[in-house]
Amino acid sequence: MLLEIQNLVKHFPARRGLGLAKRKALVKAVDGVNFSIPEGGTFGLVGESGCGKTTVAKLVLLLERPTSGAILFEGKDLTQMPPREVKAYRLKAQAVFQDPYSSLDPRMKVGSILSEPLLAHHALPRREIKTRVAELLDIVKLPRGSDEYYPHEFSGGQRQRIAVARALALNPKFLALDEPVSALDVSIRSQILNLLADIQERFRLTYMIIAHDLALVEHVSTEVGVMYLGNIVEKGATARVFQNPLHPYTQALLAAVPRPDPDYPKPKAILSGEVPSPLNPPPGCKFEPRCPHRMEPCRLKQPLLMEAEKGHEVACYLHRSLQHACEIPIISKLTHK
Amino acid sequence: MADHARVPLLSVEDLKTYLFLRRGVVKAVDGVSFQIQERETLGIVGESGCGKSMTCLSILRLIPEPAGRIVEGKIILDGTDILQLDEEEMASQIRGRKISMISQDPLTSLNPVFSIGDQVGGPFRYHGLKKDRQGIREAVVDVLKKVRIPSPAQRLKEYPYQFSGGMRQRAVAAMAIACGPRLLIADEPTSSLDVTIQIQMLQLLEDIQQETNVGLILITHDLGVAAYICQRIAVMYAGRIVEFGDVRTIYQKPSHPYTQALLNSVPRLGEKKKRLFNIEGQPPDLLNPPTGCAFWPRCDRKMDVCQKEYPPQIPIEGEGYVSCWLLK
Repeated sequence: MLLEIQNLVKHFPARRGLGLAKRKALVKAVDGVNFSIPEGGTFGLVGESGCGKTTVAKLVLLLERPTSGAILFEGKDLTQMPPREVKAYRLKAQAVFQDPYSSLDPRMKVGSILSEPLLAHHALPRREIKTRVAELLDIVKLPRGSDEYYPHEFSGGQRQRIAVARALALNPKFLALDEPVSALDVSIRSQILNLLADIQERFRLTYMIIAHDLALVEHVSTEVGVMYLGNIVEKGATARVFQNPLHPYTQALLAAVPRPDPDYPKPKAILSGEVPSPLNPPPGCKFEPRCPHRMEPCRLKQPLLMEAEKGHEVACYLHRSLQHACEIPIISKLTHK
Repeated sequence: MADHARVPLLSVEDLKTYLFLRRGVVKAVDGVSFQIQERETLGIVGESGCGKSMTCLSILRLIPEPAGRIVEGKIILDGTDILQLDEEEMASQIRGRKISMISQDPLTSLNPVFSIGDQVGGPFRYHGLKKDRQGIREAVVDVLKKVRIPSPAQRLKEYPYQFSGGMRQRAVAAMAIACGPRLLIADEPTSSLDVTIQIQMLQLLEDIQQETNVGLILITHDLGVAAYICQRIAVMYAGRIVEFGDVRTIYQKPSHPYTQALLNSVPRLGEKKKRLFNIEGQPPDLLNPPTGCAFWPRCDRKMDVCQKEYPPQIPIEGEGYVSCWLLK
């Protein structure tokens, strides 16, 4: 495993109320997340806004310090690492963000944008930098000489290519992609997705991709985790999770995606309600208030993520093995769906 | 009934809306024609800058002036050409009354310092439909109920920040349908919402349409959303409709290379492919558009004639048409 996330927790303090009524509260943005990514794999994290998927990415990139838990990269725990080794980690883990309009400094020429990581890490002697920049432009298929221009002179898709080139500058092993195409036009998205697939193969990169578009995640990832309010509720090989979703939330999510096919049957049951506030989540299973299959135990205790079939884990009491494991009385009429 | 249905609710004829900028003229909408019937949903699909939003702003006569101007065309609503009306008449008779709009981002279309009740009551006050406070309040509760906002009598005292994204978009929809419009324009109504909320919103739009017979124009870049709710689809590229037809023909037998490419380039659930279809190049620069068909620089089946002359409209199945030399 290149990257292993163990029991990752991030709580943010939040203040509620004013004056005398002021009290402290915690937003449990990430509340015990486990997953691992093998070298060369792509782990997709899906979920709706506020589920904590971006916080996971920030934690993995050490842009935020976790409250507790471990992040193992090549077997070493990043949270316990001395600063010097952390700097070495930053060479190997890079990111591509959602919005190429705000992730590139408008006052820097593309050449400086691409050489900045090389200079900051003293990765190359100065005279070799220009060659490396040209090489990077070539990798992301931007015209030679693009380094002389400013970001605003490029279209959205080209800017995202610049962001990809910058992420590749230091020959990383791991890229965190946070909604890499959602700000782009439909006809440009496939260009960037194909480019990301090409460079993954060429440089044996490991990806973690965060997206709300389920079809996109199915397309790019080898494994997938579905997040809801700070927890992974279902996880497994992409094909298994998408073809045989076990958690009612995953099922609802997949049913809610409008298909580009007018004859596709419309979903019969639509998930009612909205995601509850992370400041005051339900005590048991966090999905319980919206769940069409909710039962008594769901309100009492949060189900843990457990294997339902080989390589496919789910956190839901609908699956018998979990009821035993969590010492919840089995309800006889419960059907295995 | 059949006869009645033939009289279109709205008919847009050869609409041209140009933007006169210091750097040149942008033909944002360059000869667009379509019709929409009562209770029908027309989807306008295209990428940013293709003119889909400008078309709809033209229908509401809300083009940013003085740069933008409708230079040609007719927009006929229920038999009147609204391009002939003056600003006063537009404001008092058309906007919010007969045509209303739901915009993309509910946060920016609601005023943060007025309560939801105040804002949803705005159309009733402005158009003088309800005179007294009690009457307005009742009407607001009523319309909030219609958009399925739970406990409307309490929630109308709340402010936009107390509403979630989905609820805000419902409040915006309530304002739009307040005066019982004939035509509703929804500009990317769900693109800022999560999928489980998006489907609720789409269903709400369908329900509103069933109840009120309103004609709906849905602007979207999401091919899934358009397929879900629309009966007819207009595909726009660089200010023109390149393909128009009923939803099945467009999705199952697309004729224009651009429509085909768009449909092939999106990943689909349950159909994992090794590679997605690549549309080369970028959407055109409208200050400097290509000659002839605007899609030719990106088209994999371009011919000499494509660069010289804009293709004529060729009829296709389902009373639609396509503008492409390949079919000539």
